Order: sequence, then structure tokens, then C-alpha cells
Amino acid sequence: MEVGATKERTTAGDPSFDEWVEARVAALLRFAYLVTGSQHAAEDAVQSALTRVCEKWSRVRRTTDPDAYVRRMVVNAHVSAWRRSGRRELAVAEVRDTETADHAVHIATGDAVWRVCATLPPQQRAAVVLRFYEDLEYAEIAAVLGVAQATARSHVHRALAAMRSELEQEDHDG
Amino acid sequence: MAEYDDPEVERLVRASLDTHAGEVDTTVPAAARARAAARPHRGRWMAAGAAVAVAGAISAVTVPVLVVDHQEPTDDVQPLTGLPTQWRTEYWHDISVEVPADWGWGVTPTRVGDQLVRCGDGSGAYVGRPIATSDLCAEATGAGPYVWFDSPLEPGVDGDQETVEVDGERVTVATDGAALRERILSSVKEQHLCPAATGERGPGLGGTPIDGLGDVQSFEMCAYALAEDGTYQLVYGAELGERDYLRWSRAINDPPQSDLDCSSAQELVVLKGSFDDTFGTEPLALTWVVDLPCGQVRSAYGDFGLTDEMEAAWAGEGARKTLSYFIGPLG
Repeated sequence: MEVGATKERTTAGDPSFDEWVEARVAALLRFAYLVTGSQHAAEDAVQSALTRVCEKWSRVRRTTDPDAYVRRMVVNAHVSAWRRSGRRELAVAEVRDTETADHAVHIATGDAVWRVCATLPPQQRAAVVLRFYEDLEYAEIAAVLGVAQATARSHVHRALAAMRSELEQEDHDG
Repeated sequence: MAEYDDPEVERLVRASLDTHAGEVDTTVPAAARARAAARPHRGRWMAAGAAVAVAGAISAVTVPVLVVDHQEPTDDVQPLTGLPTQWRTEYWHDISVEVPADWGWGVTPTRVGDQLVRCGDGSGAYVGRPIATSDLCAEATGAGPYVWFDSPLEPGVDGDQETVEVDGERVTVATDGAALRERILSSVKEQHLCPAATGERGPGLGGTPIDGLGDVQSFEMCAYALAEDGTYQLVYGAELGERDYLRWSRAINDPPQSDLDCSSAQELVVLKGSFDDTFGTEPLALTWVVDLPCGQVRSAYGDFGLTDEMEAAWAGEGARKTLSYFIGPLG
């Protein structure tokens, strides 16, 4: 005896799950890839997060920024996997072939940065991605990571120091 | 050797991230897979419609019932004969359910493919939560009786088992008698004992009422576990008594010092006491936050170490069979 058919209602400016995910899934996959360093891990993390968001969409859209919610879940999933793995490196950066010699120096430098990314603790790496790819403020980064703002700053600062060291070492090695 | 100042390193990082972001295949059907994997959310299902659902059990069909956001208390349920006389209330996230007081605590199965798998005990009558108490996982069998919080089943009736959804939380009840099942289902409702979630540091500790602390009115414990999304979700709660508070009060009278860094708690227990104000009419409140893995208690009076005596004041059998701190390493 069905006495009440239900359908999630949306209001103007309040997207449905389908509308939101269609607009955001590519960006979320890119974010997850940069955080995890792996296509497979990125897909898993995003799919898992979206599954949870889909189930709780009415609550998520009411109470929080869905993008921030998913980013946080992606980061937490990666942190958890990192801990489960005994803090081994989870993903090895893939060095893609470059087609033109003109960009060789740029690519090499970029890959040095990417190599360092792969060695960073996952929360530190996420902080870097949130800061320099997503262009978030430290307060926003702190909210996504669930840490104090000072911790978010510290993550970014340490990561940059590691990258500078790697870049200088690379130059030194010739 | 080139010099890399901060702006230059930042520029290189941005360039590298932009380049590598372009490597990911964004055409994978992540959204479609997520929708397929998501449990169907057909709105909210009302446990108070249990009488309707029990009727549906006779024909063993799924019976959707009217959507209601907040279920009313169940005082209007007709008295049913042959039911247990002693009941207790179990809490999970936003909801609570009443179960016979002699039921134990166990594990809600999870779905793995077509199977329901449980990692831990599921024998006897029990209230299950989605936890693991053992490394040994096996197909979940058994007809109950049980209540499963965060059930892997879809709402509906399947023989002696019925699943409802209240405030977005799914609960399965299985009993060998319709009357008992109806009684339990009719008690599933939004809970008001504990906030359903709390922050990393727990709730605010409030002020420090030094004068006027009178008799204890209530003493409650709310236990939270770190969830996948980084929030702390309620996994267990209990109304404790005056005796428990007095025990707690004695235990914290001369506590050990603690200078531990408890920045990454996996489980938090919040204890809240309400007291008469001998100088006023409004009750006074005191809050303690217990960081279980760390063994530290935070209060408005300062931090101190957790002792066995303190635990004994609030950790009953349910908490000990639910919280991973007590369950310990799986094996």
C-alpha cells in the first residue's frame, strides 16, 4: 500500500545530485588524481565519495558545500589507505613521454615537483593541491583537511621546502 | 645552481599540477557507478507505519509507507501482551531504538556482492552496528532476533525481517514474532540524547561553575567515532545515573596529570552532567571529553589522564562491545 510517493525536490539555485555531479565530476577526478597520484585510486576515491553523497544528497546540499565534502572524503580515503599500507608510498609518479624538446626543461622541472609530491605524506600533498591547484585559502584548506589553519600553512610550507630542496639538488646533479 | 625563491617554487608547483591534472581520464563513468552503488534513497520511511508494514509481512511484500520527517513518540502504541517488560534505548547517529533489556551487542553485516558478510559475533539476540570485532569474516546467517543499525538491506519486509528508514538512517529488525517486531519498529525515532556528530575536539567545555553546583540531575555519555568523511559520528549513547556520576566524581577527584598530544582521536566519549544550581533556577552543566585512544580527559578545569576507575563509571557492557578502544586489536 503505497500512500506517499516521494521525490527529492530542488529549488532554484539548489541543484539536484545529477546536475551537481555532471558539472563537478571531472574536476573532482582531477583533484583526486593529484592527491592520490593514480588514476585507479582517483576513480575509487571519487566513486566512493559520490556514492555517499548520492545517498545523503538532501542532507549534504543543505548542510555543507558538496565539493568540500567530497574533497574531504577523497583526502581521508587516501590518508586511510596510506596508514593501512604502513605508510609506504602508494603511487609512483608516472613520467610521460614528451613530444617536443623545447619543453624538456619545463617538463623535467615539473616532474621534479611531481616526484616530490609522490613522497609527501598524504595530508601534506592534499594541502599543496588545495592551495596551488584549487587556489583555496588556508582557512578553506584547514576546513577540508579537518585541521587547524596553522597546520594547513605548515603542511604547505614544508612541502614547498621539500620541493625547493629537490629542485636545487636536481640542478646540482646537473 | 639556480635559486628557487618561494614565488618561483609556487609557480613551478602550479605548472606541474596543471600539467598532471590533464593526465587523468575524466570520461570514466564515476557518477553513474556512484549512482548504481548508492543505496536507493526513496525519501524517508516512517517506522510508525509498522502496523501497516506488519500487515505487509503476511504477504511478504515490500510496503512503502508515508514520508514523515520526525516521527512522534510511540506512547500511543497499544499495549501488547507477551512482550518483555524491561527495555533499554540504543542510539546511533540521528536515531534511537528501544530493544529488550536483555539483548546483547553485535555486528551489522555489510554487503559484499550478493552476500551479507559479518566480521564478528552475530549470535543470540543483539543490537548490531557496522563495526568489526574480528578479523574472521563470514557470511551472515541466522534469523535473529536482532536490530541492525546502518542496515545493508533496502526498506521493506522480508519474512520476519523488516527494514525501515528514519531520518536517512536505515534500521533492520528481525524477530520471530510480529508483536515484538512491531514494538521495536515503532520505537525507531529521531534521538535527542546526544548530538549526532561532533567536531575533532568534541563540544565546547563551557564555563567553570565553581559555586552553586547542587545535586546531579542527569549524567549522559555520548560516544563518537571518526567517520570516513572526517567527522565524528555518534556510535553509542547512554543515560547514566546518579550513582555513575558519583563514581565518576570520585574517580576524577585526584586524577593523574596528562600532557599527551591527542590531536588525532579515533573515538571520543563526551560526558555531560546537569546539576541543580543552589543559587539560581537554571541547571548548571559540566562537560568532559574523553579521548579514548589517547587516554586523556579534557574539562573546563583542565586536562588529566584517564584511569580504569573513570572508565568504569561510564563504560557499560554496550560501550565495551561497541567501541574499538575496548574491542582492541582484531584477531
